Amino acid sequence: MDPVLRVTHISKQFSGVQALKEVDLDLFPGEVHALMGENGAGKSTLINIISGLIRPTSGTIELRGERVQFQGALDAKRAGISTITQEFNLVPQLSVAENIFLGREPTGPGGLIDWKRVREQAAATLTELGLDVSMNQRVEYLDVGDRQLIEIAKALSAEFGVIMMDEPTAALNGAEVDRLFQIIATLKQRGVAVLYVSHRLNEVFRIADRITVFRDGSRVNTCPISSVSADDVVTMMLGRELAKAPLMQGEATGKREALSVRGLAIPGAAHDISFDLSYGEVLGCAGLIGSGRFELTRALFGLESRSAGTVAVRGEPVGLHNPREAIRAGISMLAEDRKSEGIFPDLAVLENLVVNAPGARSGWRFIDGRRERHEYEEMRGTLSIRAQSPRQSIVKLSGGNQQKVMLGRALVSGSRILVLNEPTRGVDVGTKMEIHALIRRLAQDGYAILVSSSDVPELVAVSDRCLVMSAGRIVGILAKAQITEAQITALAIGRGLMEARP
Amino acid sequence: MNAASSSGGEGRRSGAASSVRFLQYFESFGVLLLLVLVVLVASTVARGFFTYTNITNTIIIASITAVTGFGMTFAIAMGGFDLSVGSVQALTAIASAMLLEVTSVPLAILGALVLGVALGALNGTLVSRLRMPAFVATFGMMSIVRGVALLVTRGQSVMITGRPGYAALNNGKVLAVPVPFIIVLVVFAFLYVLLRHTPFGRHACAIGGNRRAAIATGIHIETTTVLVFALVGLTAAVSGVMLSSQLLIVDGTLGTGFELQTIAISVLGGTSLAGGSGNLLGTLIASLLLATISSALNILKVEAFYQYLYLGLLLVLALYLDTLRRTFIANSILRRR
Repeated sequence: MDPVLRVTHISKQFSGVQALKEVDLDLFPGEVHALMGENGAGKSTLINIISGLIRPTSGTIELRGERVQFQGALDAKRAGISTITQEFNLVPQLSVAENIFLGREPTGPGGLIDWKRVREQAAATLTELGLDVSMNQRVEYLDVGDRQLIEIAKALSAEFGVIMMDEPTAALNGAEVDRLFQIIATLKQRGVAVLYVSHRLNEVFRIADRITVFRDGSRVNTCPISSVSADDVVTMMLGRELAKAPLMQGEATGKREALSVRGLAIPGAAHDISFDLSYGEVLGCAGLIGSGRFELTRALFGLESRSAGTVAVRGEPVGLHNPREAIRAGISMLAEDRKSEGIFPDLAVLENLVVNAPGARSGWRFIDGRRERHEYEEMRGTLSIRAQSPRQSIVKLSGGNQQKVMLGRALVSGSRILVLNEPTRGVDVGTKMEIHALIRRLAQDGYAILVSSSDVPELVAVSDRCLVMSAGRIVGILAKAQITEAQITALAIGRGLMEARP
Repeated sequence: MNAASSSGGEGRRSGAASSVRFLQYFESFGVLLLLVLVVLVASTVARGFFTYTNITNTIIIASITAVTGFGMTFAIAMGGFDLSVGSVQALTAIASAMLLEVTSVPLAILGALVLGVALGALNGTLVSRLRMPAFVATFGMMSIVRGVALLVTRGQSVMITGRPGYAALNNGKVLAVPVPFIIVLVVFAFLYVLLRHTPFGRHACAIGGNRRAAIATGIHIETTTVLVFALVGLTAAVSGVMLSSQLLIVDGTLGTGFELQTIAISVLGGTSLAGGSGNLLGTLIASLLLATISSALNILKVEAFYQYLYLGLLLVLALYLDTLRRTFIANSILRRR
């Protein structure tokens, strides 16, 4: 059998950075081909090239034996290549059937939409996929899992020969994943070639026929899934073997217990979350997108509701229904995205900094200008914030200095427990080093710090212990001696889960 | 005020940066420049403009708009606005007039103010607890309160007679300064301190500037919203009392188009409809600008209908400048990344 898609010697350079080096990949009809690799290995670049979003620096793409050159995403679509990503291209206000045929509505006489055909074909597609949603349902009433399946229905009804899925399960729960996999099986029977990009080992071993591993922009290997073990894949991804030492559950390193989480569950995101955090300790928190890490940090600050479990601060159970309760309990959070959830763009540096200070919390008193000024100067010294004046507009500061102001906001609130989300995202290297040093210094001063980050080297640099989440669970808590990038990555992609299964 | 918090950049001398600076200064001082220009033109073109009587009248008219404009500015800073101020002005003016038939001047005024606060708080409750957009909630209230105003008067006028103390609220003077202008200064000072020097005011700006961040900061969003709208209701009631003391005959049709005027002077005064900051001084100057233009056109015997025209034009111009400013700022931030 000939491959439906074959890419040969594809390279891509982004302003001097070699994102892909001479990679080859082929896809056969009726095959599920898994593509794995660490962040930055080049998976997304390849997907973007095949779907016509970016053009390769060199190399060729052949579709059914013919060489193609896509000028844009539409070209690839017309050629029968569909890409399903995290962001859906659905119009919420339109019905399921309308969405399936959006942009290629069958028309009858006079250029009017042939609704009969739309309905018939939509119904046929939905039946084939075994979807129990009504085609007249408006998409806005569907949950994430259903929406994704509508995307697949779209691809199926357009008779795409190649469907690429980029982390399709990141936002799905267990039952939805099962349903998706059934549908992928149906696609296989129809002779569709599926390129499946995932960080999750157990999924790949469940559905893939072959696997290709990328590392640093190069292809490491392509082989049938039956010929490799999970450890082989991890070794290929990391480029070295991982010590098989049993995982120690790192014990809290500080002296006094600050935060104690027991059996925490967040609907649709995480469950059975239990860990302790002491004063004087930095606890790292690793996990891929969709691992529940993000939701966990938000739940600790009252921004995400939990369905079970308890959180105790210094042994006292706390409610944490909203950020006010969290701050009252002595917990402050650094928002993951400072632009959308951190800075007040119209307020000055000082105002942004002290908005959480105890003196500024109650509305009915005069602002104590001198006290604020004092707090500002103190934080400016501690964090070495480079601002021209406290009255300067916050948006005129560099990303790094904005981030320091956000850190200062958490500190002036008087909280001794800090939940830091992506503390160095979007800051320059120098500031990054400063912030890392600051986190260590704060821990020495007795703060209890949870650092949640997608930057694995960062976690290695600052953590005393590091908990790793995968698929909504804590899959390991690494002690200081065990914290390596390789160990964290292996756990995050689900090696722990694989071993737990018989 | 706005310039104080956002001036003094990092000394970047690019074209965009200096454009931003220009727009910032225009935001703060542009309306003052316009006012000076219009006063100069009106003094030369319109005979009888620059007289003590006319200036006093102009200031009184400006004062009535400005008082509610301050409240509106507060609401806009919080990222909302209130379309019901005209109806509330009418109903509180009527309430005050009716109360004067049965009780003393201070109690009648107090009654009207309490009513205004209650109506504003109702607006705020609709917006915060029922999570309705400010546009929808206050648009509905605009019609409801108007209906109540027409119903309680049965479409008739209510006269205020034999109350010299009440009329003095309009025509009285303290050291040659008209009482309405003194009321404006008092309300201005009160709201200025509230906006700039209390956590409450800062929280309102924070909500308007970045609502998600305000939630993540633990600010009392609902309480702040209710209180800000109550404040708008209060300022609408103050202007209702001022208006009734000026006219001494009130009916249910008072204050139509008042929401447009008050939003217009806020925006003209440099308060961005995008929320996040409020320029109360600008609102005061813009109210003087509008009243000056009206007065000059009156003297020149231009039909009153033209008022809608120039008001709309000024509003569009002010909004356009604000959009320009926002775009420049967005671009200069993006370039930094």
